[in-house]
Amino acid sequence: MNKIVIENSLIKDKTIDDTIKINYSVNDTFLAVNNLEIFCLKDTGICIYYTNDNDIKFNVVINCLESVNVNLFEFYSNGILKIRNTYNLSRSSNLTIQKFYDIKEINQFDIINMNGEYSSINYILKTVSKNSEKYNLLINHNAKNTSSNVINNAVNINNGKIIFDVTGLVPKTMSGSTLNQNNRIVSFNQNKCQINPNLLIDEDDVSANHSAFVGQFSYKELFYLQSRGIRYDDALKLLIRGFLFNNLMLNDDATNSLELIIKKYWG
Amino acid sequence: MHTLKIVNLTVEVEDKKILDNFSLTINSGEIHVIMGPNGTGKSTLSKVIMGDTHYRILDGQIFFDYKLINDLTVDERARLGLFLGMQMPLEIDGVTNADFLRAALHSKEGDSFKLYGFIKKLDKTVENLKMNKDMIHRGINKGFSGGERKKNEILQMYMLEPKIVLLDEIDSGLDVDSLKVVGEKVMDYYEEFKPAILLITHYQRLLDYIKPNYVHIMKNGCIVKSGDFSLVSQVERNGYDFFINTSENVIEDNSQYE
Repeated sequence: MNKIVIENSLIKDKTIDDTIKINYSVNDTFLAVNNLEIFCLKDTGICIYYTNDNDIKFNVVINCLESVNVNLFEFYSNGILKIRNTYNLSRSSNLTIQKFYDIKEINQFDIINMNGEYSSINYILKTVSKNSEKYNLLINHNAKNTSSNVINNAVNINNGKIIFDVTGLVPKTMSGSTLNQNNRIVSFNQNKCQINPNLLIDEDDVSANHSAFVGQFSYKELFYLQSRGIRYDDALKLLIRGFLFNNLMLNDDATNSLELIIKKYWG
Repeated sequence: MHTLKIVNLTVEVEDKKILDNFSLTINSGEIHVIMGPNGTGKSTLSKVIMGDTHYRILDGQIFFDYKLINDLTVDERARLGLFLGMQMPLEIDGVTNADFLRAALHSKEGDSFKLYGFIKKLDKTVENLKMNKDMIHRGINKGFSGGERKKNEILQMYMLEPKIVLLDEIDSGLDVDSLKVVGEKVMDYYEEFKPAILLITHYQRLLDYIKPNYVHIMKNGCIVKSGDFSLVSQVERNGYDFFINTSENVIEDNSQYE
């Protein structure tokens, strides 16, 4: 597994093999943006850890070459971040992205370009939101028979407020595409949370669906857990843990990072 | 010896009275069956005993071993030894059965909880119930058939070893083979631990495996007739209306069960 640790704009740790190539340039003087570009040449796994104390901007481009399978884990912690991620998928490439956020504030714009036929993306985002978080995601089905599956899950606590703006775009003639969006925010405060699921489809032969939920864990779920003797706080923690871990396939490092966050907020 | 005693319980939900002056006493080693037409308050009874706060107790008391439990929370009642096997067990995605049961056992046993013992017992019980071992690591009831969900309830009962068992239509959604397994396992549990069991059912078929000591017919939120197992065949023969509409068949004095 390739590992890149970026701390306050600097690459602090880097363990990479011949399955990827990276270019990194620090702090473009005009726009104050850090640029990271990764080429995935062969089947590979990549862990990228972003951690910063200050307000930082990133522009990240990840390119998956033809027929390459990539498993990408991104972990964001601490400061205020503005980031644009662009994922370019070539023919028959498969990208699984698992993103986890424990950050002060974020404004993110992710663009997924499915440029090659039979490319597919599995995009899973999990966050614990404490302040303002805005996630824009645009999925361009630029080729036929492409498949996108998006799961955005947030637990909103303290003074958190969160927006998921998710758009799937299928131009005419891009037949055989499949789009799935599942957005869910569990909120523990009264702040405004918003999900804007958009499916902009200009082609008949497409399978698309979406679901969106903003609310709390159901009384029935809590009743069921408590009816087996589990205390309210423990039942809630069990549900939160299940919600945040669900659908993820993590290695030990990533699992530990997630466990630490759950412990930090819920003991 | 443990006792669940319900005295003159009157309950409403959304301004509608569901239970009306309901009384019943169940002791360890006894199996009581409650039968009755739909909408008569049977499931409400089980949920109220368990502490579902959607229902409002207007009057009456629920005692567990002579301790009033009206004001106890759901989890407190469960830790005392009450267990409700639900009619429609929920699916909870993301929380695995193993994590769920471990948390439940840990809550019950506290510092004396032993992980190794838990795993061993869980494996053995899964095998006894002829369940798929994979289901332990799946979300609670995630993708389970109706029968698997009911078996999962029985698995939880075995793991938690409750003293008072409430089984709400545990037979619904079961095929004949699963019904046999569930029925026999409930009886095995009864033989081993001698709990008090309150069984809610519509059909005699479950009673081919679970033999009750007492049968109660419920209508409009209270028991209208109580008797022994022979009452079940009368229900099968004549339907519930026979007991409800024929005044001479209604037992006015149910005091021996209260």
